[in-house]
Amino acid sequence: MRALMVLFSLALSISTFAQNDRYNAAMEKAVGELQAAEQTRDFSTPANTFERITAAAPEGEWLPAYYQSYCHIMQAVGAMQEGKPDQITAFLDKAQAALNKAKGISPENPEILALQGYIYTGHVWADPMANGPMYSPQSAVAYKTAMEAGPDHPRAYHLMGMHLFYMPAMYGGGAARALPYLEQAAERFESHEPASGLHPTWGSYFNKQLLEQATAKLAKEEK
Amino acid sequence: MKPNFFLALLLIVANALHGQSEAILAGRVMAGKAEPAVGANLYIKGSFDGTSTDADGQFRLPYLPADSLVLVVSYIGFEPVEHTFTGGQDSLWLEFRLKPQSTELQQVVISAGAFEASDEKKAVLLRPIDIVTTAGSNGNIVAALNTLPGTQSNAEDGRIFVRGGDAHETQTFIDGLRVPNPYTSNVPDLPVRGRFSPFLFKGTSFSTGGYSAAYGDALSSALVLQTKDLPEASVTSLSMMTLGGGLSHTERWENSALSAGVDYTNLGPYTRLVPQNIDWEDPVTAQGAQVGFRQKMGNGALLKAQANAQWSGFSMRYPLPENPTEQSLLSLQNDNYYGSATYHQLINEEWQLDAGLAAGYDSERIDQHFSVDRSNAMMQGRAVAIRYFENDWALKLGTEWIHSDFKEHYQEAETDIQSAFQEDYISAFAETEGYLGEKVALRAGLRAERYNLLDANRLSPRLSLAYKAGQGGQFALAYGHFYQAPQQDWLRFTQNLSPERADHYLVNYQYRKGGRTIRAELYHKAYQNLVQFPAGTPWLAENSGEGYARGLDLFYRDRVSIPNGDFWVSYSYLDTERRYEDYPVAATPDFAAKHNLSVVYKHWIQELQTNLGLTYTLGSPRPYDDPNTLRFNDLRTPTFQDLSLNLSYLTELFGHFTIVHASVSNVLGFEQSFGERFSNQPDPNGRFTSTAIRPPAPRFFFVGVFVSIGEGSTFSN
Repeated sequence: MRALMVLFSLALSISTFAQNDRYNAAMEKAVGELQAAEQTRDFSTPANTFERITAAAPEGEWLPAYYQSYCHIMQAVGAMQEGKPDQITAFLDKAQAALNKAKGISPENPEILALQGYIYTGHVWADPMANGPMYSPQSAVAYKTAMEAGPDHPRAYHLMGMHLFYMPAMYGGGAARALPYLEQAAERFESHEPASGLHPTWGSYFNKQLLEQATAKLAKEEK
Repeated sequence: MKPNFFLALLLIVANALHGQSEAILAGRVMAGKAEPAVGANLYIKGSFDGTSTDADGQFRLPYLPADSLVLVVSYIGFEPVEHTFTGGQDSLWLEFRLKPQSTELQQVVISAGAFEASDEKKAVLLRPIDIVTTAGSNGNIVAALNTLPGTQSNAEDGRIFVRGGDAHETQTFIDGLRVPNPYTSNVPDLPVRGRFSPFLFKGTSFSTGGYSAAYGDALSSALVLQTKDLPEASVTSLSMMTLGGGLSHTERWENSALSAGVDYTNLGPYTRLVPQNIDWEDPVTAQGAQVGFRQKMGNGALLKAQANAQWSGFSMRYPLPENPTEQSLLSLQNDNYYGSATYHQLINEEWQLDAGLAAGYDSERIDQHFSVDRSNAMMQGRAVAIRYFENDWALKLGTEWIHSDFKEHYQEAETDIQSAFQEDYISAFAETEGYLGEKVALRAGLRAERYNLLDANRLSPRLSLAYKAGQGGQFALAYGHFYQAPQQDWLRFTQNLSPERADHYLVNYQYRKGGRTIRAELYHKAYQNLVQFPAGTPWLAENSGEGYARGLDLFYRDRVSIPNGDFWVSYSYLDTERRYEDYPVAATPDFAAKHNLSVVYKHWIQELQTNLGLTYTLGSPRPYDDPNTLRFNDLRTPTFQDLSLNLSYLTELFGHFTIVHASVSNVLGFEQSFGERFSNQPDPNGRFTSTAIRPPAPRFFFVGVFVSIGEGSTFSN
């Protein structure tokens, strides 16, 4: 009987070990898919992959749900560019559901808080006239909370800068107001070390682009 | 624990034998009936591996056979499916037909009679911003609602007339509490405005019939307004208008907010600039003050309190009732106070509590060759408990008490009449709302009312049903009994009356798809127990009047056909007759036009940062009575037409968000006239003389600059 117990627990630990191993392998593959999607702008493959991993992830792992949410946000942005208004909200709602899961696992996480702001920004973009008054201040609050939770993380600064850059000046946006955030984001993209190879690194390239655009716009305005 | 363990063991074994025992799961996923689901996610529950469907909705998924496996199929916008199967060594072919996710937009909703504007709910026809930007409304909620079907374009009155009902048959509720004087004070033939700014509200529900048992003492319509919760941030607002100005500030703390504002209106400079049909002595001046408070409690409850005060007055030369061709000085002074406090709490997942208190005082003094001093004090309390059940059903239980105190002093030469009475209206209601399956929504309620002054008890059933017919379409039905106390105008003469009654029958069809909504509603309304009296003797009033109203309301809203454009078209056909008040026979009342049409168009011009709004209104001729003829209500007003235009330019002023708003009514200069006003007494020749009722000016111009200072308006810092 005792021998059987030992065997059982041994098998159990092997299975747990195997499970973690398989999780890491699946995540590595998925993050690879995500990096490819950043080029192709088709996020449906990593979205599906992260959804699968979220469903079977070991306890305490917030990254799969976080990435799933991020992919759905990018799908919503894609739907905006393709002019499919019905899908935008559906993707944002799914992104929110996934992010809620991530929040439940890791509250006060600066990366998750920043992504929450991104979802609100998405709602503003989906229908600025109707959603702007409510979601715009909410996203600002989310970004600020994320900055406080992790002052050295770059993405809250990047997203805040992006939100301001695309918001008309009369609503309190514009290149001039976006610039300081984009610059602070750029510094942090340089200095911030992700906790592991699986932790988020996205945003630095787009931040560079926005920074250039904002600088060019301001230079043009000064002339 | 054990089965998991064996599964894990099995997986290890299976892993070891990888390649030999793999089977293939293949098949197809359809999104709805005919479309293939492209990119749908398929995976075996508990494993990290899976696949996505191809362009034909087909998939191929290698898997490791086991005793019992769960295949998950998920696709955006559709209900996920979990399919349990036994995986043998053989390959399997599976077909899935996914059901659309029942989002708010696709769900069947109680729709008969109701027009809702909300930011929070998705399945609504309007957004609060639509009300503010409707041309011709100039910040008046009521004017914007009068572009919806079921209403009348009675521009000389300004109030809401719903489906053959008189204006008093519409009651206004703010946060569930009844507002005794929702309109500004005015004399006949000069339009009134809604007293409350549209910017106070996050939601508007305008019901043209068959409404919930939660609202009562209204024969025709309930206008239910919901004030905003905690404001997003602190903001200072400044407005400068051709008619006056205003200043307000909102301070937001973590869990509370306080706002205060003042406004001042003076029509004087405007009336000197723009020629008027009215001979003003002292054009309208008004002062207003508002305070508001919001507190979020530790237990998640929200306390809202607000108070408004308005003082207004004017004097002008106005036709004498005995001889309309002659004019004498008429003045009006109105003071209005209204305050309310509400408490909203989600006690747990099952119970919600809403409670409120309100008090109001309105006094009005009119002087001509007579004088009227009228005051109306009101106090009320309301409590509603909602029990939510797991299966999406909810039960609402509520009670309210409204106490009003009416006083009037009328003096004319030797005549001196003082009247006063107190009214207590007590009600209780129970209502349940939920779904019968996926296609049917039901709301059934019962309302018990006690009219203390009239010593009358009434019980009114209310029923509303909606049936989902295909994607985006639904049928709805509503039925109900509605009671209302006779107007104070008659109660001051006699209280030997009983509540008036209307029965509503509604059939509605609505279809919405991707930014377009079409809606048609047929209705029949039967009136009984209306107050009636022989002309000139209101103290003989009794409940012997009756009437009917029936018709068809059409509504079409389209936000997608025109890029950056948004429009709605409302058409109402109305057939109504009633015998009430001093009508000698059953007749179509003078406020009812057979045909009403409104076209509201809005266009956002990106390059100019400007919103352009156009509202066209048409009302077919309305009857009115010439006392010189034997026939009643046999004359007809001309057809009414109006085209209003507004422009809102969004810009920055000293770095602050600013809206420059300009509007003009009757752009095309339609000849507008609303019949005639006749003398009360015949002249020496035995004739009743008359003057034409016309708008105060052919056109109304408005320019205003609205500046918002602070985080609430802008976004950064």
